[in-house]
Amino acid sequence: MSDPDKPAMSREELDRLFNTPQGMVHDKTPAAPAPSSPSSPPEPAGQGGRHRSDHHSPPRPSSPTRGDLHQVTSDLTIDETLLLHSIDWEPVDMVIGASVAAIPTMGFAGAGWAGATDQSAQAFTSAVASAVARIRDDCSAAGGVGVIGVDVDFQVHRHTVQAVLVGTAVRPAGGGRGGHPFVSDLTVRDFLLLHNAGWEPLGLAFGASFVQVPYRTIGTVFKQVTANTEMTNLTEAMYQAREQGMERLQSSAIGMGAQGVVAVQYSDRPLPFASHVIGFTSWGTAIRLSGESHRYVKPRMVVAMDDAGDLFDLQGAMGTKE
Amino acid sequence: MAFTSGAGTGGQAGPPIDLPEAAGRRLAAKSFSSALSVADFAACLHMGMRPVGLVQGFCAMGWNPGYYLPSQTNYGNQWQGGYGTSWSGWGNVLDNYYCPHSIIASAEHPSRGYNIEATGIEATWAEGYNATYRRMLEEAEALGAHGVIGVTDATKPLIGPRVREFHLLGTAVVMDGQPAPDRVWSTYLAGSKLGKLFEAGLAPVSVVGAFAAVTVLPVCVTEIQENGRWDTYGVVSPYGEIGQLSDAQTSARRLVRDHIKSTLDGGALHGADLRVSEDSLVGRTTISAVLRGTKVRRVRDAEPLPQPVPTVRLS
Repeated sequence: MSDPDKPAMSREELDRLFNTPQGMVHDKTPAAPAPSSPSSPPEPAGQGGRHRSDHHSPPRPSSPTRGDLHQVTSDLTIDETLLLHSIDWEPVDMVIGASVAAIPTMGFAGAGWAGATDQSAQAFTSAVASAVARIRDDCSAAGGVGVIGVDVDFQVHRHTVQAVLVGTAVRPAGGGRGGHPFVSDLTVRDFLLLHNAGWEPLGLAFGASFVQVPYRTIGTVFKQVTANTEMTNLTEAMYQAREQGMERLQSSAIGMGAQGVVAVQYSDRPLPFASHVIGFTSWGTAIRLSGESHRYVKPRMVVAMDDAGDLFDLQGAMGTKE
Repeated sequence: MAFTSGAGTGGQAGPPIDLPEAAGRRLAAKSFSSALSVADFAACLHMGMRPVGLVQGFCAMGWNPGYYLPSQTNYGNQWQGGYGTSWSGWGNVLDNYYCPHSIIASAEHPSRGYNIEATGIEATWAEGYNATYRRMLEEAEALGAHGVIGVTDATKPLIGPRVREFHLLGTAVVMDGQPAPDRVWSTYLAGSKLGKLFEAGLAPVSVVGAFAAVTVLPVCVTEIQENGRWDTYGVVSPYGEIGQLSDAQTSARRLVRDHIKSTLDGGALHGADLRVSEDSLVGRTTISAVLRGTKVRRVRDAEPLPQPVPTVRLS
């Protein structure tokens, strides 16, 4: 614990800090174009060929020593970093996965919407699955055993669905098991509680459904305009779509061998480019017991004597609080 | 821009600095301004840091992407020239994509597609950010500061998408009783968060930022899939992943991460903040990614906290 009457940094620490070279920002000058051979054969036909540069799988040193910060990037807060260290885990690198999938044109623009909504859901599934695969690859390349705090961004456009996942790869301090990295949008605090309770995250479960709200017949409109009544066509269509989206979420979790999904979030909003079409998307972290049974975390009951949120809590911050 | 030579509040004359005349007058005044909250201000004093002034750096940069980007005609000619594509001035080819139709290329049917790292724009961005950062440090040096805390980055488009203003603002602090530093350190953190960083055995080195841009020149397959169409040859269907766009979105983010890692010099990036935007520059989609954070170094061995005690608050 630090002495509150002393400066936070010792003379030696300051010397060490100020006598190390400082970087500024990446100062990249235009480099020579990547070489490409005139004689390279095109890839087989199908959905088009592709030649990938080395950028997608950059060699990254993995030096699993405790507390090593060499080239680590992390979007965790300082609180989250300290919490992670308290269970002997450490951040490894910021990792990324993004994917864009196509939606056929008959989708929301034409009359054949009934089939297209299913295809849109399939496109969503395809985009998320590919983004998850990419972030897992990135995590493995960095030497992580899983990704936490994943920021999930889904965007549905007229003919495309875009999924972008950005999180921090983590591992037990000094290295960890290999295998299939988990992907989770849980915060470090939630990950710690889950860990202490004997559960482990397996992956990101997701589901989506799209529904075109049915138009009412003229007869129905006249009937409903004179009475306060349930709009059964809307109820049925939207209720069914919600259930379908959540069913797909659960199915993806079951497919991972999970016992359940925690911290489910869902979004239901009309699509800006298609009137009467509503998209339901849901996602959460699939989990399973890592031991034989759940461990009770036994929280301590506290009664706050004041509103700590409004007070300056420096002693707590400095680790000098009793 | 008028320049002045700076003198710290302690009377230390400094070298000529790249700052407006008003900055010299403001920094020479015998009072200070600070963007810190009262809590952060109190935390600073507690940690032995005395705020001495608000310091800032500013730079406006403009670029003309059309100057670099191949025209539509050149785009076709580049294909006719086959491999060996030279996008000099614009950037590096990250990925090549090929047409599966075996038909002659035209502007309407691009048989080659490219994801290109727009190094011309990246270099412009880096130049603007570096100049801004250097000017902020010059102001801090003029005050005889040891560090700059609570830095905020208000970089944003200025008049139109091709002019961007870079603006860094922070509070310069002096650590009383400590010798003058060789270099001024800086951090986005302040107050209790900065205190926790020290408690964790880490020290801030500098705020860092990086930028990456990937321009997409779509191959026919990408255009067909993006429009949700089938092609007339029975080869491409509007289903499944659009590989070129997925690669571009992923590459922009991974590139900016790799760019910033090249500045870490054995340190780590703490509190990374990634922002991505998509623009259409001369008709080409360009995905831009900005990554910011504080470069930190370990100055003391890691001492993990004891396991935190879960509590339930009764109210």
